[in-house]
Amino acid sequence: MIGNKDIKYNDIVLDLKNISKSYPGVKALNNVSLSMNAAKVHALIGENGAGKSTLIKIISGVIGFDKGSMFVNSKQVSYSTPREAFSDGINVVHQERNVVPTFTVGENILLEKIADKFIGAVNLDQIYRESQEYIDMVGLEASPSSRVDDLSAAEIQLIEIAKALSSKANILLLDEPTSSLSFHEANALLETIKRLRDQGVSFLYVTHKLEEVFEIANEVTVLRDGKNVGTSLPIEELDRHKLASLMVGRSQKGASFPVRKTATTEPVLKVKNIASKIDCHRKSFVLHEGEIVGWYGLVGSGRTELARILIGYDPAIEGEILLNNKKINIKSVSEALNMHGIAYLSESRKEEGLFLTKSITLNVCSSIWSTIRNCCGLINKRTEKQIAEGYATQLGIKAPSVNQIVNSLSGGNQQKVSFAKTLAAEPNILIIDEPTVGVDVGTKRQIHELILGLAHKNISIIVISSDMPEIVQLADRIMVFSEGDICGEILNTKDYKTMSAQIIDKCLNK
Amino acid sequence: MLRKLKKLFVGELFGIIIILTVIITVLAIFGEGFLSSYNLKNLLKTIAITILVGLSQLAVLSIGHLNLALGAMGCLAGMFTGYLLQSYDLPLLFVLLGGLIVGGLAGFIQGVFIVKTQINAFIVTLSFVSIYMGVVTGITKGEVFTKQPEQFQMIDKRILFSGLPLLLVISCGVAIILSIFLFGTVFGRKLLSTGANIKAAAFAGINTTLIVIAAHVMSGILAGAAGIMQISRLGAATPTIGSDWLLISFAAPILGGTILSGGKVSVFGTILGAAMMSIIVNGLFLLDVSQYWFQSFIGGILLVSYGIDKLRRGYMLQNQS
Amino acid sequence: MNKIRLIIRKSDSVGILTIVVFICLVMSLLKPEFSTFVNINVIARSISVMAIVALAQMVIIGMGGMNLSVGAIGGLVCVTVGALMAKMNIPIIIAVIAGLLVGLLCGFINGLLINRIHHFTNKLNVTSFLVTLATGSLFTGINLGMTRAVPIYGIPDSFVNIGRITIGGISLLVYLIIPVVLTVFLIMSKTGIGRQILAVGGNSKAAELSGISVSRVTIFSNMISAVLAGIAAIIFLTRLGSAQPTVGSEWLLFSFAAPLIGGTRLDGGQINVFGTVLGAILLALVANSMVHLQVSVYWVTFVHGIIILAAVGFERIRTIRSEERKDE
Repeated sequence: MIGNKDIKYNDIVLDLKNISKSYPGVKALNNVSLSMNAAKVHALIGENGAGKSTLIKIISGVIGFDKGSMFVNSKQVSYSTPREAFSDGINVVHQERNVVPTFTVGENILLEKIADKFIGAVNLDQIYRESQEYIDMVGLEASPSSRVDDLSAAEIQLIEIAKALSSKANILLLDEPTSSLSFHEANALLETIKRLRDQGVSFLYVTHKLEEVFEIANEVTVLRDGKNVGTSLPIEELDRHKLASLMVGRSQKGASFPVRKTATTEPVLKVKNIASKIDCHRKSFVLHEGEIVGWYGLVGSGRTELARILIGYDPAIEGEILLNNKKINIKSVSEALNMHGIAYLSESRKEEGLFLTKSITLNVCSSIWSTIRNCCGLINKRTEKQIAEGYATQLGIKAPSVNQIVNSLSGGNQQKVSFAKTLAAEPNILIIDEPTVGVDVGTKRQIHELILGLAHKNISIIVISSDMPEIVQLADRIMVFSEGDICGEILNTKDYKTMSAQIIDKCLNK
Repeated sequence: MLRKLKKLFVGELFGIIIILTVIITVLAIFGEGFLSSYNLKNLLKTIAITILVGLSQLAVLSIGHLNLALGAMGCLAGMFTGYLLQSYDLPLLFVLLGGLIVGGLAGFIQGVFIVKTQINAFIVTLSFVSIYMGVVTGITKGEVFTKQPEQFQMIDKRILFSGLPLLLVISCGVAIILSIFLFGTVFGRKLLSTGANIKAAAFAGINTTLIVIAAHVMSGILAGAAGIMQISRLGAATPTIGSDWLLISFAAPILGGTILSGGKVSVFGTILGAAMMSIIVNGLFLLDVSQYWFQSFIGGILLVSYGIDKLRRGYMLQNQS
Repeated sequence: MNKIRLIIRKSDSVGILTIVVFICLVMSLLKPEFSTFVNINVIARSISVMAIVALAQMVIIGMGGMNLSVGAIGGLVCVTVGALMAKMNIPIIIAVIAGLLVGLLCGFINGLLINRIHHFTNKLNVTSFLVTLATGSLFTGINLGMTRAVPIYGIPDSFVNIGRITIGGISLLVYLIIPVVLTVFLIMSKTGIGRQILAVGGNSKAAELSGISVSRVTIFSNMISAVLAGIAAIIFLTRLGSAQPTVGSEWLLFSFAAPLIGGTRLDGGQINVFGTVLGAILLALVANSMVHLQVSVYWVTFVHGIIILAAVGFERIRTIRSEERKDE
C-alpha cells in the first residue's frame, strides 16, 4: 500500500467541520463540512463560484479559515503555509501544469530532492532510478530521462501525480483534472486514479462534470453558493438528475427558457467542409437567423478551433462559407468583424478578451474605434465614454466609473465588459465561447437572459459550452462535438433528463 | 487633508514633481552658476536631446518591447545627415528629412525582422547595435563630417524669447504630438492595446504586425531626430553619437513612471524624467563632483526609483480592497 | 552508456564544431599566417577571457534573467586588483583574492536588489534587466570615479609574466580556462545549486512550489556570474599589463552572443557549457579571420551581429519544427 502505511480502510483521512471563510463583502464558505474516507475518491462538485477553489485553498494550506475545525488523519490542524499541508501528506494537482519544461521526467518527479541539496552533488542516475517506481505507479509510458518538453499535457499531468506520490502524499486534491485532456486521455486518467485508490491513496476530485462523478466517485459533496447542499453522500444514493438539481438548485427547474421555433427561417450562415491549417477535420453546419445553437463537447473536441476559423483568426484553407447565400472569404479577424459582422467572445477572457491594465472604456470600444473618430483621425472621447457608460448600465457592470481599470473588477463584471466589447461591434453573428466560466450564479443568470434577448433581436448566436445544463437552458438546437468532429445534432426540447442522455449518447457512439 | 495627500502620492507624477522642485530649489541656492544664462541654456539643450532619446525608447516600451539599438540608429541618422551636409548642397528640409528617413528605415528593418522571426526583441535589437554601428563605421571608416552650413547650425544656436533654446521647443513639440497621437488617435489606441495584451489585440481585429513595425519605425525616427540635434549641437558628425544613450533612454521613461512590463506609458513623465536626470548631472557638475562619478549617480537614482515604485505598488495593492 | 547518451545530446554543438573546424581549415589554406603559433596564441588569449565572460552571462540566462553589469563588474575587479598590486604593493595572491571578493560583493548586491525589487507581476528577466542596468552604471561610475579614467600602470612583472608563459607553444592562459570551464560544467550539471538555478529558469513557480528558494538562487547565481566576470577581468589584466578602467565596456554583446550561438535558451532553464565555449571560439575565429582577410576592422562588429541573428534564427526554426512534429 502506498501513501501512509498506517491508514486503515474506513478511517476518515480528512474531516472538515463547519468551515467558514469570508472576504471583504463576500462570504465564500458558510458552515461547510466534508468528511473524506480513506482510499476513496471523494468528488467535490459545484458550479463556478460555489466555493470549491476556496475550500481547496484551505485544505492545501494556501489560506486559513475563519471558523470551524479541520482534522487530517485524526489530528487537528490549521495550516498557515502550503508546506505544512504538504508535510501532512496533502498534495494538489492544479488545473494549470506546473513542471520545469527543460528538465527530465525524473528530475521533475523528484524536484523536492533537488531542492534539498545545495552545495552537495546531485546524482542524476540515482534520481532516474528512484523515479522509475513512481513512473510505473501512474502508468506513464516515458523514460525518466526523457525531456518534459516532448510530452503531451496528459503525460505531464501524470508526472505531477507521480511527483505527489513521491512525497508520500496520501491525500491528493485533483482540481478539474480532465479540463485539458482529450476523451481518451481523460478515460486513461480515471483508470489510473481508480488503480491508485485501490492501492490506498485518497482522492479529493474537484469537478463540475457530472458524468465523471458517476464514473469514478465513491462519495460526493456538493457546494452551492458557499454552502453544503449535500455532504459526503455515498454515490449509490444519487442519480444524475438528483445530482444536477442539487448543484444548480431551483433555477434548474424554475425559470427555464421556453422552446423557440426558429429553425424554419433561411440559414444566415452555411458552412461546408471547412478546414484550416490548424484544424484539419472538415466540418459543416448551418445557422439560422435569430437562432441560438449550442456547441457541446469536452475541451479539445474542436469547437473553439471551428470558431476561430469563422472569425478569421485561423483562416480556412478548404471548404466554403456562405453568408446570406453569398460566398465569402474570411481572411482576418478585422474582416470577419467589420465586413461580415461576425464577432467572437473568447473563453479565456484575461488572455484573449480583455486588456486588463486598461479602463472599461478602452476595452468596450476596442473593436469600434474607427467609428468614433472625427475628421482629423482623433477619437471623440466624449462619444467613447458615452458608449461605454451605455453598455455599463445596460449590462449592470458594477464599477465606480468607466475609467476603472478592468483588472480590479470581479470575474463576473469582467465577463460583462467582455460582452459589452463584443456587443459594441453590433454583430449579426455572435459566437460565445464558455459564457459563464468563473462567473457567480447571479451574473450567470443575467448573461443567459442577455443572450436570449440578443436572439430575440434576430442576432444569430452560437454558444460554446461544456456545461450541459447551460446548453440545455439556452440552445434551440444542439450540436455535439467530439475529438474534432461534429458527431450529432439535436433539437432541444429543454427537458434536461432526455437531452443530457441524448447528448452523452452522441458523444459515446462516435 | 491627509487622504488627499495620500491620493496624490499615488498619482505617479507627484513624486517626481516634488523631487524635481526640491532639486531645482537646492541648486538655485547652493549651486554656483546654476541660474546663469550660459548654464541654463546648455542645460535646456541637453534636456531637449535627452527627451527625444527617452521618447524613442518609450515608443517601443509602449508595445512591451525594448530598443537597444536606438543609439546606433541615432548615429546612423546623424552621420548620414552630416554626410549630406558635407558633400552636397541641398535644401535644409531635404537634409533633415533624409536623416529622419534613415532613422525610420533602420527602425523598419528591425521591426520587420522581429515580427517575421518572432525572436525576442532584446536579442534582435542587441544584434542590430552591432549591425548598424558596423555599417556606420564600415562605410565612413571613422571619418568625421564637420561642414555644417549656417542654417543647420542655427538649429542648435537659435534661442527664442531670450532664453528658450529652439531645441527644447522642438522636443516639447514632438512630445506633444506624440502624446496626442498615443492617447487621442485610433492608431495610438491600437498601439497601447497591443502593448497591454497582444493576444487580445489580435482578437479585437488589430493588425499587430503592423503595429509592432510602426512602433519600431517611430523609435527610429525619434532616435534619428535626436541624432540630428546632437550633431548640430556638437558642430560635427562623429560616430560616437548615441554611444551613451542606452542608460538615459531607459532612465527617462522609468523615472517618469513608465512600467517596463507594458501597458502604462507617460510622455509627460518621460519629459520630467529627462529633466530630472539632466538637472542632477548638471548639479553634480556645479558642485564640483568629478564627472567620472556621474554614471554611478544615475545608476543609484534608478535604483531608488525602482524602490519607490515598488513601495507605491505595494501601497496601492493594500488599499485596493 | 549514459556518457555516450550525454555526448549525443550535445549534438547541438556538433553544428558549431563543424563550422569552427571548417573555418580553421579554410583559413589555414588561404592564409598561412593563420596557423602560426603566434596567431593561434592571439586567438587563444582572446578566448581565454571572452569564454569566461560568456559563461558569466550563461549562468544568469540559465536562471531566467540577464546580467547587464558583467562588463562593469569586470572593469571594477580589474582596477581593484591592479591598484592593490601597483599602488599598494600587495602580494599578487592577496590582490587577486581581494578582487574576486569585490566581484562576489557586486554579485551579491545584484541578487539582493533583484529580490527586493521584484514584483510578482513582472517577469524575472524584466527585473534583472532593470536592476543590472542600474547597477552596471553604478559599478562603472565607481570604477571611473576612483580611477578618474586613468589606467593603472606598474603591475608587478611576476604577474604580467604569467601572461607570457607558454606551454607547448600555447599560452598558459588557455590552460587556465580549462579548470574554470570544467568547474562551471560540474556546478551546473551535478550540484544542487546548479540544478536549482536551472529549475528556477525553467519554471520559477514550479521550483518555488517544490521548496526551492528563488531568492537564494537569485543571489547565488548572481554571485557566481560576478566571480566569473572577475576571473575574466584578472586574466585580461595579465594580458594587458596595465589596469584599464575601460575593461569590460565592450563585453555586453559578446556575453549574450556566445551562449546563444552555443545553444543556451534565452528563456532560461537550458544551458550548454561547451556550446558556449564553442560559441566564444567561433566569434574569436571570425574576428581573427577577418583581420587576416584584410576586411576592415569596422566590419567585424557587423559580422558578429549577423552571426547572433543567424544562430538565434536557426534555433527558432528548430524549435518551431519540433513543435510541429509534436502536434502531428
